Amino acid sequence: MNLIKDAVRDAVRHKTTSTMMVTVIAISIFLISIFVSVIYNLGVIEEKWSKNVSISVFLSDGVDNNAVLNSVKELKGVISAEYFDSEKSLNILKKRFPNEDIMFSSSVVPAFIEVKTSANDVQRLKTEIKNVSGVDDTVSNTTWFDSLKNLLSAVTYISAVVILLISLMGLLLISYATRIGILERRYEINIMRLCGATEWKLRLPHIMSGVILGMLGGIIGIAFYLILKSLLEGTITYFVDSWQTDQPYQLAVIFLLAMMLGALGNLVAFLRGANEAEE
Amino acid sequence: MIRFNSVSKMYDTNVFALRNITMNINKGEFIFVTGSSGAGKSTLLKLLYGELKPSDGTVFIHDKEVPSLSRNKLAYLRRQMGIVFQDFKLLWDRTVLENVCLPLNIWGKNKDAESKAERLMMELDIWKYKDLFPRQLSGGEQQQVAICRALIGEPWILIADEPTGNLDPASATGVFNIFNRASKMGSTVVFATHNQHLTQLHKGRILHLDRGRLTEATK
Repeated sequence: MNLIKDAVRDAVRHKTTSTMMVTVIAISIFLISIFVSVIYNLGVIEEKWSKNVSISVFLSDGVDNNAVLNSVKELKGVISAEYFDSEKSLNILKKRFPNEDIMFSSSVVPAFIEVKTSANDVQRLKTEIKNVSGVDDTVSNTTWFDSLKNLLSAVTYISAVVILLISLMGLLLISYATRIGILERRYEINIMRLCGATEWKLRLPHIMSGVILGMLGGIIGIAFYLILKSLLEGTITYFVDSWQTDQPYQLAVIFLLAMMLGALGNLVAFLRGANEAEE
Repeated sequence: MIRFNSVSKMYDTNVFALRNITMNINKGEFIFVTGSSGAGKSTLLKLLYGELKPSDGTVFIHDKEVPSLSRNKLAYLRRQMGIVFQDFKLLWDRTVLENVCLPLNIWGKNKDAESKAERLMMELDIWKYKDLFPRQLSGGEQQQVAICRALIGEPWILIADEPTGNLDPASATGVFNIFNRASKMGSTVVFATHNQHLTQLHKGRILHLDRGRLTEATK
């Protein structure tokens, strides 16, 4: 209890340093919250799209379409399967290429079964479907998904690096800002040492005040992020309909990060600054 | 209890603050350290409480070699000491009472801190200033606050660097009597002073420093 009291008093006594620290943490947490949300939603998008990969199954002449369709539907990993006769296939072609003048008739467009599956099951399913009696060939184009996956992975990786950089920058700025405060307090630290204060006795109030200021910065940063999100939510979901709101655990982890930033920043500053107070 | 073993302290090249000091101070002894300004009195005291390290030789307290103690061990050793600094070393943003209670608060002994402080401050007639800040006090009053802070932990070793320098003769005698009483109760007192009046009152050993060299006179 005394430790918290000392820490609060410490933070209040050094208003400029405390304000700088809260500001740095709030900005860092605001930016980190944005990037965490981006990473989380990229994962959601990738998962959603990975369940939307299709295999076109072309049938041999004169087979019982329904029998093949039922056999395919029974295979493990098939999300849905639908039979398209030549007429439907032609209509799909016309819809996909509305500006092209489709010259050929439905007699030359083959009938097929469209199988929806997840990206992980594509290769296995293709082999299994080929072994079904009455299947002539299977075609799937997963190149678009692989490219998308690579793109999303790259964006996720970059976002993670940015989060790390923001945290490091925040830590550096906090330790620099509070180091100035600790240098100002060399006199006080020296007196406390001469009165018998151990190193941890000197450090703990600084760490605790870092935690308290970190909490304050975290609350402000997250609040700004939530305000921004509520303002932009309509626009975001217009472009990305699957955009999800943050999970409570995400915000809890970010809040924890804010406290850690405060505590670590103050500890680093103390270790760097207080040694100069010895002599 | 306290042993200086051929201790020399050199600040800059060829400038000796202390030269080859060898001495013993026994438990409960009251020692005066005298000498003109720059004789090395403050340096000798700083070596005692470990703020400075000797250039040569070593200092022992309770058979512990002070210069080689880790920071934490030195902190625990300092908890057995009460130190009155020449420049008082008060915390300007804390009240007089908070300054006096500082050592006990640091050691986590907050329980009786205020009552102990009240007793000491009443004795030196500064209890009335308890809620003021040091800046609001005169030099003499600040010195009395520093003395109370040194005494509050009931130290085994009292180290005082010119503790009466800013006091009128009556107050100086009062402070001397407090230190004397602490000595009689078993504390070892090392008292650096210029005050001739006090040295005349003193019945124990006087260590005289002259340009860093020690000469001892026993009354």
